[in-house]
Amino acid sequence: MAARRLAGSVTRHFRSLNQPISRSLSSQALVMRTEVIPSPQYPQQNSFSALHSTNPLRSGDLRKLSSRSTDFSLSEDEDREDDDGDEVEEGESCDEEDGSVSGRKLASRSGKSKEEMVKEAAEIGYSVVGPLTLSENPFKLYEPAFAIVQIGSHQFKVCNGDSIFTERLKYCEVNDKNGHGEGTVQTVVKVVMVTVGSRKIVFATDPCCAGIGFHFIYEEDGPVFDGMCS
Amino acid sequence: MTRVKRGYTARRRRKKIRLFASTFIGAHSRLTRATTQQRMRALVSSHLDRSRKKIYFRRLWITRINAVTREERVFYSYSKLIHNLYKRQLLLNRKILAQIALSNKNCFDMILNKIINKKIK
Repeated sequence: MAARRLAGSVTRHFRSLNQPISRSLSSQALVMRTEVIPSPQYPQQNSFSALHSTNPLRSGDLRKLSSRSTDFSLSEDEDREDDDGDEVEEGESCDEEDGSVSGRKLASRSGKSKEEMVKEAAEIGYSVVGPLTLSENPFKLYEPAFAIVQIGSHQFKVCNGDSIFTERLKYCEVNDKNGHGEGTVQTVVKVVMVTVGSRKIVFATDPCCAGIGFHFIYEEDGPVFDGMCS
Repeated sequence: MTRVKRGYTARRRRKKIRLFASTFIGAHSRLTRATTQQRMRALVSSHLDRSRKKIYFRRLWITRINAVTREERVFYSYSKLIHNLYKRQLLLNRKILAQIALSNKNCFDMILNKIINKKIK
């Protein structure tokens, strides 16, 4: 079972994009990458209610606004979550341990008034709701969901980003996206049970529970080797 | 008659057999006759074990499900669980049930509760 699951690799995906679709007579394997999509009912808990922006974010301006004045020292997890919530760019090194002090310093150094900062933030695409207090705990540790999918006579337990080897699906082409759940068309993949939760929390175990979307992407065709047959 | 050597045919055949049995213990990987015999036995075993593997794994899953079920509930067992699963029309197979029982016990508990509560109703 574990052998069937491969970490979804970007290179394989790009290879499949570059190669022409070849329908060899002996090709029977199907590599699928799965994606479990939470519904609005279970909102992602790793982000603030900030708007998504199409403009590139300017690191300097963001740092001024994202580092709020807080009296308590942030832990590592909360630092990361604050960064996610305020949409800091990836690869940016934000030193949140000095956040409380640097926030005030940056604001004073920028020479902009509060209204100007708010306006600029709105232009970029987010709005600062307010400072985080000690009693608040808006972020929980991310816990992955899994779904149990049946293809033919075989069942697989899949998480977000998993790849599985299966028999070829009849009407699927490479890079097709199929799914089950709200807003998707059900295909030959039967979702036996969708369980949202992890080791600690289980929200629902009903088959085809409402509000849970499940997508999978058909990555590539290939011949069946020993150990790869489903 | 001119002396005729038999060439490399036999040597190449034995080389392949020796490569196959290179990891065998003792004389089974060194002596040609023993190597040939052991290769035949190994191939037969692998052919049989391919079908046995499915049986062994199913047995393992059943054992695991049984253990977790008996741990969770008093007077409850694998046989009752499977019977109720079919009655409830829950299509999970033993492989998935065993994996859930090991990795995600909360989920397994919820499944048990649902099945049992449904039965009482």
